[in-house]
Amino acid sequence: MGDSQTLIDPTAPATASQPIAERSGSLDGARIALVDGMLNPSGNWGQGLLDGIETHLSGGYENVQFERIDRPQLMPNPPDVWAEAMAASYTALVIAAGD
Amino acid sequence: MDDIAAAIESCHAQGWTDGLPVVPPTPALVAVMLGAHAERRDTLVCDLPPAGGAATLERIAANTVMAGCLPEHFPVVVAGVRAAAREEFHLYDILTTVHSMCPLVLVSGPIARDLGMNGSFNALGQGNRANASIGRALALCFQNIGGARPGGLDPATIGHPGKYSYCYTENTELSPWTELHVERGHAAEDSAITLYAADAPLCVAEMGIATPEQILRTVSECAAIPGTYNAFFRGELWLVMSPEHANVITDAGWSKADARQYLFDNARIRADALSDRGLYAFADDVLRPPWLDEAAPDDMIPLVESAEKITITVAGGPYGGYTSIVFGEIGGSVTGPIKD
Repeated sequence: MGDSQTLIDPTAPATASQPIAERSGSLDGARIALVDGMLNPSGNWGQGLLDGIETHLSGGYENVQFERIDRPQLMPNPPDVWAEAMAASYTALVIAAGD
Repeated sequence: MDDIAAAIESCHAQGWTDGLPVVPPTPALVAVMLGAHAERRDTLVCDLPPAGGAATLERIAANTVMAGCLPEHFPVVVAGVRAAAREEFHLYDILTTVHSMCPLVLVSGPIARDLGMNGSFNALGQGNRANASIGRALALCFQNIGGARPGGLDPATIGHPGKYSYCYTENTELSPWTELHVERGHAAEDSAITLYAADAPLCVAEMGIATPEQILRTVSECAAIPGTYNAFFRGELWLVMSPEHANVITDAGWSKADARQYLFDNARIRADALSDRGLYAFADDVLRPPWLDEAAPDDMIPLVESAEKITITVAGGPYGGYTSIVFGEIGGSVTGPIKD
């Protein structure tokens, strides 16, 4: 019984119910939204993470445009409406999430 | 005995526990827990936030075994998982906030009596297997299936003891009012489970009282304090009222709706006592209720949007003038049916 093989694993990997978005081969010339999705927007706690992402991607790709976006936690529209609007405007999205 | 000890240690080593020893989820024990559902053990009940883990019947059963439940508790746990995953409950926010909160579980209807659940002495405390193990099973599901582990996706700064288990039933023998699930449209002969995003309870004492006003004034004053999320966010306020308090209120001819209205009218904070707090800015104009922004400095701000957003349940032993205030966060409670 000491062997974990004899126990039913109570944990679950995250489901793959959401399809992964298509990956482009390069971010050269991309328009990338850097989204501060932290619960406390006035704290600017996500900006440090987004600064690092911007620095990292700037070094690897040519002519990348970055835009900082605030994303409210509770939105007037369902999240998928917001996601579709962002997808129409940007090549990629990076979201700092938490609180 | 050595094998059992090793299995318990294995559960600890794999991060499956809440810090306390668990019953090892052996295939035999999980099969007993599943009972008639064994052949459809892979049935998906829901995806459980925050990580979106697949809550299959087998995984729920494994966590239910670990919590120390009996097989007859299993339908309650499954119903709790299903209710928790409803979008309007905001389980993702509840489990991933730095705030110290977790789902409070109320089991209503005949199944609570059949399982011997405790709504009397120590209703929110220790000592009853069904209360303790059903609440614990749900907490383990949130951790092991939902992925909300302390320091990981569960970053609660302080936490509270209810995160081990936070489950009770109402004292139907002494309560003057119908159970909560009936109030919410379920039949009295049906069973239901309600979950509420809850802080730790604040126990308010008001003894030797004679009138509803004396009880509810004290409760109102204790509820109307800055620093709670109720003061700044849209939400619900939950009370666990002792039978003594509830019966003083009804003996004076007051209904539960009257009590709610009194609390709504009196549990208020001056607007200018809120607007200079850090939480006011923290709760940006999306989270913050509009009535707070529109208020004059000396306006008295209610804790909830309407009297209906105050939930009163009755539990506890037959003597003692206490009401526990359970502050909440964004959103409110959800009630769902318990099926076999």
